Amino acid sequence: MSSLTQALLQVRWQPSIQFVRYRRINIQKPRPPHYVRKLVLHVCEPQYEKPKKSIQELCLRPVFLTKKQKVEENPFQTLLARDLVNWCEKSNCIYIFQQNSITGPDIFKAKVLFKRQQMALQKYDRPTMEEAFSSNDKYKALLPLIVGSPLSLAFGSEPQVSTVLKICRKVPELILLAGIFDNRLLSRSEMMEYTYFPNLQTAQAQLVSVLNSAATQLVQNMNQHQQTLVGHLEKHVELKSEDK
Amino acid sequence: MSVPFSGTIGRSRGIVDAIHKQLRLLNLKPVGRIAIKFDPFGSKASETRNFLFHITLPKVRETNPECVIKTEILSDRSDPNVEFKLRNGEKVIFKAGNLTTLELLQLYNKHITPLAPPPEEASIAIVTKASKTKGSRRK
Repeated sequence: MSSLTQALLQVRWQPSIQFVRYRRINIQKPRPPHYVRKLVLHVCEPQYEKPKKSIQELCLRPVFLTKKQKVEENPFQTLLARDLVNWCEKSNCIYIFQQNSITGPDIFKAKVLFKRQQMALQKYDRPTMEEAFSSNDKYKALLPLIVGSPLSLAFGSEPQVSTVLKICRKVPELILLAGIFDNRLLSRSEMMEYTYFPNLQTAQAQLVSVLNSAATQLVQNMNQHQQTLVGHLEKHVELKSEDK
Repeated sequence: MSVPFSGTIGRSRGIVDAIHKQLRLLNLKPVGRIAIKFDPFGSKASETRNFLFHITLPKVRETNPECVIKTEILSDRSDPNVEFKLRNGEKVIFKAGNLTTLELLQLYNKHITPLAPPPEEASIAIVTKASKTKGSRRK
């Protein structure tokens, strides 16, 4: 018996190897654990105490402290602003519209209508306009218009207020607010008056005639008495010669 | 000494959100005509211009496509003014000089939106399979 146990003890234990796994180990998206196990794991998770906030931080902070920092200078916006100033400098007439909510196809139709009249309708956002106009003294007067709802500008070479108003009737989303004609900012009523004016050459001719009329009137008034005297004398001479 | 907690859970979600909340309630049905008068160069015009922008939004216009919205551009630096001609013959005027866009919308929703008739519920006759088959058999 003892020899048998000795023999058994002397036998070397050899573990049998069996390959169970035939796929790669799933690490990236492991199988969700069993519900109970999940609960236990959740319970066993260590909980650390959060660092305590001071009383100043716990109170609501005033809004001016939480305001966003000023936005950095945008080079593309600067480019657009320069483009806008160039457009303004190039064109004699600028019409300023308030643009209410409008669909893409409708605004395209409006642009076509303006294009037919040799005008260009363009829309710039508020910060771009502010940048363009605030740096330029000539257009600073436009700044009160920029506040609020979006604006679009139409650039043309000749004043065509009646045509623009007709287009506005077709596109009710565009509301004509003001205009710049020959470097002069006009309100809407002034623009309407401008339509009744004749063109520049006719106006100049009228002015010249008005200026001349005063001079001619003066000459006429000055000569009137002398001429009447001469007339009377001539009559007198005639009468005398008839008597002889 | 800290400021006592006022009872609000968080800060308000802002003016834009408040305006959108009012716009969702807005109903143009009781109104036949809206006349908005403002001078764009006046110091108080921006809020009324914003109101004009909001009231002409397509979703708002859909509530009553027959409602006419007219704008009158003044040049006398006078205060902005919004006039509503209601369908029942009444006239409501908002003197908008010292009102913000949100206040204008709130006032509209307070005084005019409740006048809108309740939405008609479309009565859909329930058509069952059995009734369909019966009808076909009768033919």
